Amino acid sequence: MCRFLKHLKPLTVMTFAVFALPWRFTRGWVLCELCIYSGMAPPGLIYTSRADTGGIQETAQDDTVYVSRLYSESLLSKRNEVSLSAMCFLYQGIIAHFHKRSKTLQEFEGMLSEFGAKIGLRLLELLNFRSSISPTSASAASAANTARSNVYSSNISTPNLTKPSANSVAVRDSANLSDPQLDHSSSSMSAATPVTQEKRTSNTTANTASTVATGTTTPHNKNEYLSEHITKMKRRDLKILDILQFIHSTLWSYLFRHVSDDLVKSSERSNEFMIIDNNPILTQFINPSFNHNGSCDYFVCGIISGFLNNAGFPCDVTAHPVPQGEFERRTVFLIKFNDQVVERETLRYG
Amino acid sequence: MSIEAILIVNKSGGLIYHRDFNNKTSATHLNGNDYLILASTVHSVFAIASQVTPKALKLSPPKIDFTIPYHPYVGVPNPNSSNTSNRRTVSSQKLGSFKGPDFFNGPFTSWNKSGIRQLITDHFTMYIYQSLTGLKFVALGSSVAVLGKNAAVSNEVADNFLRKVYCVYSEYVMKDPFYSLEMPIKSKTFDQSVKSLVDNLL
Amino acid sequence: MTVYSFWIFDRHCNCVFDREWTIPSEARSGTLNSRQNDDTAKLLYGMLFSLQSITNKIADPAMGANNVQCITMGNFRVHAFKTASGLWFLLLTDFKQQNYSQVLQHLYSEVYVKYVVHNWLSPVDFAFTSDETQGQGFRKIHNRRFVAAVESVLQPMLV
Repeated sequence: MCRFLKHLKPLTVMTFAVFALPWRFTRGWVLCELCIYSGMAPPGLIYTSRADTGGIQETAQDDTVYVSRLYSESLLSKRNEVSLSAMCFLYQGIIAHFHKRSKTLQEFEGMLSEFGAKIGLRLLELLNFRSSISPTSASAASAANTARSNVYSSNISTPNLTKPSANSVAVRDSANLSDPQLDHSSSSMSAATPVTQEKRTSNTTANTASTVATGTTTPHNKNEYLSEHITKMKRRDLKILDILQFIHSTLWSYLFRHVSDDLVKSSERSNEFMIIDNNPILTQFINPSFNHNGSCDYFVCGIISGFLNNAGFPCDVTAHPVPQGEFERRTVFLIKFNDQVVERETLRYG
Repeated sequence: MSIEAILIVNKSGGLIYHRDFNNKTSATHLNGNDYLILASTVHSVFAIASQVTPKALKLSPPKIDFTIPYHPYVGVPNPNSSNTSNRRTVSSQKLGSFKGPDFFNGPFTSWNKSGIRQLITDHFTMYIYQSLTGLKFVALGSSVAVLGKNAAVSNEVADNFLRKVYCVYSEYVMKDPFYSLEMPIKSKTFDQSVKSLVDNLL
Repeated sequence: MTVYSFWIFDRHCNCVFDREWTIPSEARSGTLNSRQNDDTAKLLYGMLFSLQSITNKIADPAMGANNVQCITMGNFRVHAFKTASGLWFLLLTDFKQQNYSQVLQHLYSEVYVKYVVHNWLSPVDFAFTSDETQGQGFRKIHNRRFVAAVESVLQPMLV
């Protein structure tokens, strides 16, 4: 259903953690974040990796360069499912945390909204990037990805065939050979470099893995490879309707695997638009009661508002439950653009 | 087997949920207080039951298999039935976070090893299903389980059914951030799901 | 088809007879009216009494008397039979056989009535003074023929 955990790449998951977990854990997380940026990981730091987003892979005994899979993962989407129950329990924890820290309902809604805004801003970039990849080249890119993963698996199974080069020795010796995940990351490192040479060849022999690897390869190579597929970058949406259409279709299907149920322009006011969801997935188990009716939907509001605000459309987003017919949990996300946006639109587009 | 009432008793013996399903307005309709007493009595008797074990059992504990077999489609509409209205409801009905047409599809072990499981009286039968966390789900059935071959089967069907109530509980009650543990359940979605389970049982 | 024990409680909440077989296949094993079983007797009667009061509350009075017939536990089963005079006959068994109501009725009508009720020298009410009511009584049925008859009825079921 909702592929949150997988596709919210490391920084967003970290942000989740920073705000959702109690402070003594967040210090550890912040440390991790800083270390990732500086390219090294604190030795001996142990934490569990989340849902395949690739945390820092490490073994307690080793004391060497750690490879983060976070940056070597492709930005191209992969079909992955996260348990709805797990997501709901995590969301429940988030809500309980904010609920405890806020004194009024407005404050609570504001905190949830702010939390979602950080995700919205990242989704803006990610989804625009992904939508720029044309479908045919996208399939070529994913085919090459799977070919490379075949290389990894063959590398793991026949490690002695790999000709050690100076740096790859360092990486492999340090890596715990019995740990297949570490092997994976080191081999992904070694295969990532000679990208330019073996670009279009899906070469599954072990020799490809034996090409020169440097321990300090820039991990962005995989995505540079991906960006080579982009012939024409998607233009920034300048019209209100365009960006709202993008939210209604792409953003919603990214988050919830279906397009939103309706996109409506308010007839009364020119700056109000509504996106309607008949059954919000994240809050479907939360019992609506009169004193917090629909407050838990403010997280999705936050995602939308973060998305719009950073795309240059300053707005306020609120959630209103409007049950209709057989949809009892139908929610309307009311987007109220600032006056300057409407003015700008009428000036430019008449 | 039609269900007259469902009660949920928490681990301290307090009643956290009760619902009547029979439509007939009987003069003996119990008020809220009576149900509270009922719940606490069931809880305490449940606790005593383990101490009343006969000595023969204490000396040589028999190997009893606590696995309960799975009875398909208890409480959920059967997609294979020829009833066309059933098929439509099956496609539209989704079981929350449970994939597939039913909540579970295999046998399971009973966690109720020493407490009361079934009480048969002259006019009704009471089934108790206990979860691993000590939560007791009590169902009052209107028909008397005839002591014969089918008493065991009716016990198994009731266990399957009450386990599904437990699944629904873990969905709509446990995932609600505003629900405090061990408190009475006031959730409309939970009520609706339990009602649809009971309706589908007939 | 193993019978673990047999109990008779009267309307004063006293246990007037108990026979327990500790080794299942051995008919001569076990206890008869043992004082050590007093606690178990009280627990058992208390459980039965509570369940009966729940039953009375739930039941529709228009449908007549509603008595507990069978309680299934995790390991064993309790079969109960209540007479019009307020006597409870209890049989603790395993799961093999489902229905012991015939056995209990037979024990009441052919054994108890014959050897205790029709016996002029045996008290029918085992609480002689008011102190012995409400669970405080201690008199039991010691009638040899009664005990022998009970054992002859239940012995085939011990295995």
